[in-house]
Amino acid sequence: MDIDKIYRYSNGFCEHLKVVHKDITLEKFLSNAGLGDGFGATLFTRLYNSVMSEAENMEDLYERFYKQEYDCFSTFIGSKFAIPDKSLTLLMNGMNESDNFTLIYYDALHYGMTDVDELIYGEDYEEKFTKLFLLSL
Amino acid sequence: MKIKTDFVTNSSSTCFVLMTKGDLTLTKFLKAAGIDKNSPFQDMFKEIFHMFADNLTPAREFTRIHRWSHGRSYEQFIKEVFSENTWRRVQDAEARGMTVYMGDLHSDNGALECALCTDCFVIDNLNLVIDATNDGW
Repeated sequence: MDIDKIYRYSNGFCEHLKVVHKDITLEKFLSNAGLGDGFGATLFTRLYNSVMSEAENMEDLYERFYKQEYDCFSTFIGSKFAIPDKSLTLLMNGMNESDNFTLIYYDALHYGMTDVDELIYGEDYEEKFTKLFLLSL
Repeated sequence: MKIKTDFVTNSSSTCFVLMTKGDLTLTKFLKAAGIDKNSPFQDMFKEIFHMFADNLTPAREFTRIHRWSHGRSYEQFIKEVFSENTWRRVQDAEARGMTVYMGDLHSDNGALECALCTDCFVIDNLNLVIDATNDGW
C-alpha cells in the first residue's frame, strides 16, 4: 500500500523530525491519553518530556535564522537533515495536513527514558502515540 | 555448532515487589495507576498489568530461590537488592495485612516490558503498592 504522508523521519541515530500539534502541552497530552493522577500519568509525563523537553521547533528556527538562506521551509529541512526527496515529500505532506501541525526536531539520547523510541515507535503503539502528539486521538 | 550471523544483543532483568490487599485484579491495578476507563491506552496498561500479575511468586519464596539470593535472608535480599526504603514499605504492608509478592521483568520481552525493566518507579496506592526501584540501568 502506498502512503502519501508520514509524521516522523529519523536518520537512524535517535535523531527525529516529528510532526506534532502546535498547541500540545503536557496537560493536553495526559488528558487526551485519559490519565489521572498516578503511575500512568507519571510514565506518560516522562515519555512526553523525553520527546518535548529539548525539542526545537523547526518552523521557528527557519523563520528566525534560515529564511534568507533557503527559499522555502521544505528546502531548508531537506538540506539541513539530508533527507531523501521522497521522505521529505511525505514528511511535508504530514505536516501540511493541518494548519495546527508543526515540525520539531529532537535527539532521543539527550534527555529522559532510555527506551522511549522503542516504546512510542514500536509497532504495538506507534499509531496511538502519533495521534496523541497530534492531539487527534 | 551454530553460528549467529546477525545482531547479538545483551539482555538483562530486574525485579519488583508487589504488595496487595486481597487479590490483584485488573480493576484495582488500573485504579491505582490512574487510568480512566475510556483511556485509549487501556490496552497498554492491561499489558503492563499482565507483566506483573502473570509473574508473581510469594516474596519469601522468591528471595529464597532467586538466582540473586546467594543465601541472603528475606530482609537482607530486599535491603541489598532494593533499599532500606523498600524494606520499610514491605514491613508496613505486612503490618497492614497485605500479601507481598515479587517477580522479574526482562529486557527482551518486547518494547513495553523493556522500557519498564530499565525504568525505576513506584505505584503507591492504599490497596496496591508496586516497588520497582531495583529497576533502572
